[in-house]
Amino acid sequence: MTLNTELIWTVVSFVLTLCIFSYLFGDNPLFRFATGLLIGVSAGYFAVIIIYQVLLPRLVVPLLQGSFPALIPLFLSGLLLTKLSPRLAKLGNLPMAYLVGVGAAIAIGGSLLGTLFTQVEGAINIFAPVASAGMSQKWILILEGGFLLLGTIAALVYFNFGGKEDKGNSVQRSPMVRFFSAIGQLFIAITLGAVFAGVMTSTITALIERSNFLLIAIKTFFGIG
Amino acid sequence: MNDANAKRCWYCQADLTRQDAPAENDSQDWLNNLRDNSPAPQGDDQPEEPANSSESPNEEVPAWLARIRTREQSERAASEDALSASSEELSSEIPDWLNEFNPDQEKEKPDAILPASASAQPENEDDDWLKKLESWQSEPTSSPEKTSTDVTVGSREKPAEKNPIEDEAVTPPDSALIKDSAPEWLQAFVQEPKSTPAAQQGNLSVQQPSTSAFLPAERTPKNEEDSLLRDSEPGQISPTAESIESSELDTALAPSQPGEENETWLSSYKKIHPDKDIKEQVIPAPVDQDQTKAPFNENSLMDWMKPIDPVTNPSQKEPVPQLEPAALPAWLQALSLKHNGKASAPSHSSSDFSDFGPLAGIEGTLPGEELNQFYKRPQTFSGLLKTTESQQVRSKLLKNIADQTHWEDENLEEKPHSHIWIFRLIVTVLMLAAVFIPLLFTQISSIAPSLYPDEVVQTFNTVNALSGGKPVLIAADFDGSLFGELNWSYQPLLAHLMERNIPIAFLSTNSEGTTLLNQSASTLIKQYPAYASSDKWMNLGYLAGGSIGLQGLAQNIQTTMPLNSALQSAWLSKPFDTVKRISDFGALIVITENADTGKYWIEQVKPSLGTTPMLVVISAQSAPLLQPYYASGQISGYLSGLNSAVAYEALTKTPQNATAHLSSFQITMVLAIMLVLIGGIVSLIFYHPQPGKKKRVNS
Amino acid sequence: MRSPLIPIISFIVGAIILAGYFFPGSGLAAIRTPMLDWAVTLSGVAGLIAIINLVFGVHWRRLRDSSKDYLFSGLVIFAFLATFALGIFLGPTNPDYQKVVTAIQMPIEASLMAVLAITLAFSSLRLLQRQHNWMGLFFFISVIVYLLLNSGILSFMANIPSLQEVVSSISLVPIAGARGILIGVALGSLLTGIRIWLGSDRPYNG
Repeated sequence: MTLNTELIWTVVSFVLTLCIFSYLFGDNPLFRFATGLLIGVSAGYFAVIIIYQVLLPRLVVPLLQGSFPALIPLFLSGLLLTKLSPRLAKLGNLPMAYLVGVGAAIAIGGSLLGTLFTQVEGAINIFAPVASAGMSQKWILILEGGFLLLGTIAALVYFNFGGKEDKGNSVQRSPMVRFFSAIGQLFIAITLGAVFAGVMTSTITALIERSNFLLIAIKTFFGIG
Repeated sequence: MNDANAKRCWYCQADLTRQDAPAENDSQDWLNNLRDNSPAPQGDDQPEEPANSSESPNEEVPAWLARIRTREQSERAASEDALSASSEELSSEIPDWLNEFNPDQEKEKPDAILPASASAQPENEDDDWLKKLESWQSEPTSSPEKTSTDVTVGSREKPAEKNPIEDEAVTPPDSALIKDSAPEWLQAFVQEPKSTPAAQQGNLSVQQPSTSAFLPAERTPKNEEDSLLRDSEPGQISPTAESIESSELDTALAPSQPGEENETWLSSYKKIHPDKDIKEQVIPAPVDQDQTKAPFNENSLMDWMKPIDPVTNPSQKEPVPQLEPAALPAWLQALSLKHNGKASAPSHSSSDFSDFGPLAGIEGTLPGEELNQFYKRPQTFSGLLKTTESQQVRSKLLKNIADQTHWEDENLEEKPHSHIWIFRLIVTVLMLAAVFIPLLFTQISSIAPSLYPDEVVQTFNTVNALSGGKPVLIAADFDGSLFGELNWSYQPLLAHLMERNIPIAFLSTNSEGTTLLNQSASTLIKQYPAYASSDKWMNLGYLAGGSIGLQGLAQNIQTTMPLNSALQSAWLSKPFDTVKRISDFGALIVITENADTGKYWIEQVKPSLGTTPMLVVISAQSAPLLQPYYASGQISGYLSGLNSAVAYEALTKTPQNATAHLSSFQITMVLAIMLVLIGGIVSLIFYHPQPGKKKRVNS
Repeated sequence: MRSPLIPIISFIVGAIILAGYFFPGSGLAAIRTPMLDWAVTLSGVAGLIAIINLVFGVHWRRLRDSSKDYLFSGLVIFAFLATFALGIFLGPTNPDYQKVVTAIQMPIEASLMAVLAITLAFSSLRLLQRQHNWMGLFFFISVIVYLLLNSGILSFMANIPSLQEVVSSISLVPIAGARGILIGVALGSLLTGIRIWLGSDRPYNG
């Protein structure tokens, strides 16, 4: 029985994989069927997860245990549900404001302490290993650190969209900014190239994994191996 | 002079028939509008002060007035038909000083007596009367009456709730007082006020025409306002002609028919001193418009009564004739009794009607303006984006940069699609072949890793250094899209942890994450029976809120994730009871395919970890954006993609799925490199820049 | 005129949460922890509202109006209802129910990425066709170099002296650009967060 269930699910996965692979020959009903199924199933599964793993442990269980503070999220949740009604949607602004206020503070704190300070510090500390390095390595480390620092600064300069309007109603950056932004452009091109290569690598791995699954499934269907 | 029986003026074609009462009522409609702006009565018991009570003439009868009287006596014998004589003829008999009031009458007498709506009126007739209205603005006085009047005029208290007739009820001036103060020659004019039947029925106290109306009064603003407002009083048009002496002046200004006249409008006439220059007396001193005070509060006026902005009305810029301000306005002349007959008999001439506005259809009224132009439309907001100057400058700069970076060749767009389909098919076949052939023929060898990336080595060392008693927290923040890559990537790490018998608690900010990790781990656990027999594998479930949930986790993990996925208390049983805060874990391992998710974990949770190491298993596509965090020391190590997994398997000496599929991976990667390289070289060889055909993308 | 109460609440809540970053040891944690917990709960409810809106607001309307893709919408609704009903009945931890993810969701999502591999390979043929400038050239070279590094095939040259150092140095180069991008993104997030926190932008008004 279990084996049969596993086999059925394998067939389902196999068929759905082929449905998506059929897109290689263009858009078709099989592909659309699979994507529609994905949307519906994902939404249903997500709803079940929210109910079982968010609302039950955080809202229902504390209320059943007599936790008075749980009434606050219950009240806010009730107000948030009014967003479903166009007429009452304004009542949902309060919990939305609460969420947005928390989210904004999280974004500020995270960006400031988690990325901005640490990355600036990291850019400065590039030269830290130089002090402990030997003479032969020192110049290499200095060059390497200087190269990375230049790239970081130049990339930041590239994103600075400040300029002056000339007579021809065209806005140009100052020559110094243009020079550094050109360098920054090259560094960004290299980084984006690495990202593109990574995307290709990831998708190729996914292709191999799906191809491997298809082969295993076929072997299972035909009892090979 | 027209014939006594004439029904129409021979000169001006004005209707000379008698005015009927209905005509009066018709005219009252629009007069009521004026009354709405009139000052509210100060009380019924407070009689309206006569306009000229303080200016009663005491001097002797001047010679010119005596001459008028003499002439009046001579004409008294004339029949009553003379009363209905045309006004222009009468006006021709007005002495010169009276003609000064309206110099136009000397030039074009027939036109002068035409109603304002007559076609013979100048086109900018409304400009004229507005000019006159402005010219009537006299210098402000400090008299208390004026102040109170101004205030009253300006404030329209409950206009809709009050009966306009009651509001306008005024007590007639004390005629006895007037008698006493009036000169002898005027005593005869003064009579006791009589209430008209209409007024009695309406229980109104209607101001009767009295000599005070004829008394030369000082033209104060209050007098002007009062006279203007009285002129608009329907009750004041009650017939009291019996009390009027038929002098030449009276004849000229008196109603053509008894019972229909209303002389109160004449109260606005100035007191004339014959021994002084009449022009100086008649013509008001030019007053600076800015210094004048409007007789009406502009807010309470109807739009068409408001002063016209000289800037917007070019006709106002024209120099005003010296005598113009003293002339009676044409619309006021139209109200005079000599035109009443005309108003009572509609001529059905389109020129006599106002075609639009509240007075539409009423003959002899001022031509209204199209009110549509005064209606205010609902406030609308422009859909255009409002940008500051600096924003526009930045926008232009961005456009310049984009133009320098992106362009398309027109000839590329014109390539036929059939070739593309063929190329696509070839690439697909090649790719599938590169993938399937090594999978089918497992004897194809791959290049074993010999270069170990530093981050992989650091990851391995970190896991190796973990204490066996401390649990590890794994964040399975991924979905099914790159599950294959991540599964092969984290499997050696997971196996390493299980091999070291390290307890694992796992959660996810993605709904699928824990399920997928649980599935792959359940297969892996079978390889480590010792690990499977204990409760070292705990599913904490889904953590909502993204970065908010992560901050909550960093703040207090027991509050944020109180229960496991089975809705049981997560932190009471061993080996997880030692965890009070997130830094109590031996390590934090984040598995994700998304650079942003990894960034959130680093930003929100890493500061709370203290010395606890943080490792990341990430998809190859997001690795470049995670490298800076590794370089800055925020994460202790990371695995990215299949190549790192193979390296880790090589380090742990436990080859698994990553190593098994390395050959397929490397061949497909080489094929991809070749495709990119060939495509690029071909593009460079066959590229012929055509400056004329270069098309910049301006978006 | 909109009530200022909502932005004030947003500001106060944000101030308390933000203060916790800078004063972690203070008594703020006592109030901060439940506030974050409520926000997590609200996020879950917001997710539920989004799902209800997607299914019954968008797809149900399409089905009712028999618009162009009504069959597709019908499939979505059916799949949602079936998955939801089964999940409520079995629970999300049930191994059979988890097949919804492992046998339906994951294969479809992974297959989409697999198809993307072929599409990207085809697109990479025209990588230089669109951009004939220095940036395009550097991008092109970068793609090839990092594909080589990711593939691991350089290991066959492991006996070449200093190859390890060269590979390590090359792999460090993207750090410079990535760090610049990260700092730029962090600055943007910071400014956006401050604007929202101070009420200059109010995405909660709707």
